[in-house]
Amino acid sequence: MRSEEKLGDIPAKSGDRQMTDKGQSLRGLGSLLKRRNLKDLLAVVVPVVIFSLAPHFYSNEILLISIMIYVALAEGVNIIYGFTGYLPFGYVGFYGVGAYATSLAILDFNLPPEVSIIVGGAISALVALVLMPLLRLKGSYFAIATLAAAEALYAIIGNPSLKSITQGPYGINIGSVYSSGGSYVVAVVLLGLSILTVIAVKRSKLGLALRAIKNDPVSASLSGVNVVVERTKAWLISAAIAGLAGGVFAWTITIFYPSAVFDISISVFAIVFALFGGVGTTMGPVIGAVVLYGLYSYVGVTQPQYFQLIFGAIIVVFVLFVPKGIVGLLGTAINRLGSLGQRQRG
Amino acid sequence: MTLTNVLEVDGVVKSFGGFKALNGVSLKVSQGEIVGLVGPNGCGKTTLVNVVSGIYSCDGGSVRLGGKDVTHLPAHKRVLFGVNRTFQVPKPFKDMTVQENVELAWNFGGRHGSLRDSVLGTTGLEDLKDRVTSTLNTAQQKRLDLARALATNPQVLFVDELGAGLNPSELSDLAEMLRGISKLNVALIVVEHLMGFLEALTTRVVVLEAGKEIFEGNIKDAIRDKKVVEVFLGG
Repeated sequence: MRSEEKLGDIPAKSGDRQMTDKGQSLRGLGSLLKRRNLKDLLAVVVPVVIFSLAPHFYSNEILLISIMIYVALAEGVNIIYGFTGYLPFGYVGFYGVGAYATSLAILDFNLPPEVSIIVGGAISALVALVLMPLLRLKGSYFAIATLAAAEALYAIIGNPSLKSITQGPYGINIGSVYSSGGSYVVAVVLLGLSILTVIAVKRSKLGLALRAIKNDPVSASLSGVNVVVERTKAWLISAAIAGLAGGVFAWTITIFYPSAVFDISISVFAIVFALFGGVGTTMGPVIGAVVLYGLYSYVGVTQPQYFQLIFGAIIVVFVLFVPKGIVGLLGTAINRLGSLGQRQRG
Repeated sequence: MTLTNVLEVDGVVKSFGGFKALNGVSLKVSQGEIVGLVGPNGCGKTTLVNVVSGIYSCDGGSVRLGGKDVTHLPAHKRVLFGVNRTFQVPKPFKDMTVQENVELAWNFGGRHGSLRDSVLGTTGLEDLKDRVTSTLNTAQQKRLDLARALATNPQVLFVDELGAGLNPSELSDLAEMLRGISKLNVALIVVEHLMGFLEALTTRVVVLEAGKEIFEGNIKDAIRDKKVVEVFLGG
């Protein structure tokens, strides 16, 4: 049996002062929690309200849905990369699997699209479970292995000999369930859900464990954290989000080829958006996806080669020099301004 | 009074390629005892700590904690059986606050204890609890390692060179803190090069050389032992 005695039995040198400080710190903690609750509430509500109202002011719904899908993908990358440090270059694999699983659930089982999208998310998580051994790898080995896994999934799904199941390279058509309004609503739900998931992970014991693992896996295990299990949870959650995003894409576009949902640039975009906005933060991926995908849609479609160069440079610069992204930079600037103001008042 | 052995290491062997870092080391430690673990650099002290805490698996022998064989358990499970350690080079979670570091250990490794609110006071980190740990100096980071280990409510605690770089007054405070911890029935195995510090603190020392135990007993006897003198002074 382990000792149940308290180390508090050792006399504290400043016991009386600690009692007073405890009351003050509890009040401080209360107001901090209120501020945090409000911040997190706004992080979900503001984007959801903006995107819910956006079609009344801007008619290009496909672009709006694409941005929401990329927000979700960037938040998914955020969970696996931002919290554990594992960069998933093959993240698109889960997106493609989600798109196909959703489509096949509609075509083969006549499930409603909303339910089929959930099936897509679940199947992607299942594939992530099969690919769990990849988590034994680290750094660039992991990044490249996920890329190889995504290519393997693409090769399987696009294989002509599987035509009777996946329709192979000839594309899939779920035009019979097309619903512009329906897919838009589900995209808004996906947007809110992905942000909410990041908040939930950040505020949970899982989030604390993942941050510890990212810092130092050895110290984390000596704090009682089961490194393999906690990392796997992040991997599965991240894969499920990509699967749901793929399902929303499938319902929106209704006719697509495997090359459209297993395109490596989808991974690159999601990673760049997350890095640019700030990994490990809630709003970073939202800001990254909205700003960069918006910019890309206006300028990049006509001259995509420049954007490939710019996005490549963003990955290098942000990974090396701005690991907390734009949100991190803003936070640092605000803190510095705050302490400068305090010093001037003092 | 019969004291229970909370840690029993029996004939542990650990090799790295052709090099035997531990060659049949055995060690027994009782509840609340303070034992010194000494030896020249490379003698296997830290390897032994790594093997007992589960960072390394051993190639032979066994490790028992509170009578339970934990030889094949991973580190996070051994923590739940009551073993923990600090590091020679401290390993705090650098982007977390001091409080979060301890909170994590309490949440995951200290379910059976109720130490969360007291370890920061005990280790003198109460005033620094909201500081991000990357801003702490090395001595403070070492104390944080200790606080985090204590938050898991250990029965056996390895303290790896916590006294390095401290002045005599700080060493005396550290010894007082460690004595206080041992009074709570936590067995301490203190890895240290500072013989004066160990003499003031420990009841016995174990001396390792080239992965083998060459002496076990009172530190005053150790200083007179021919083999120990040879190892430390080169014959």
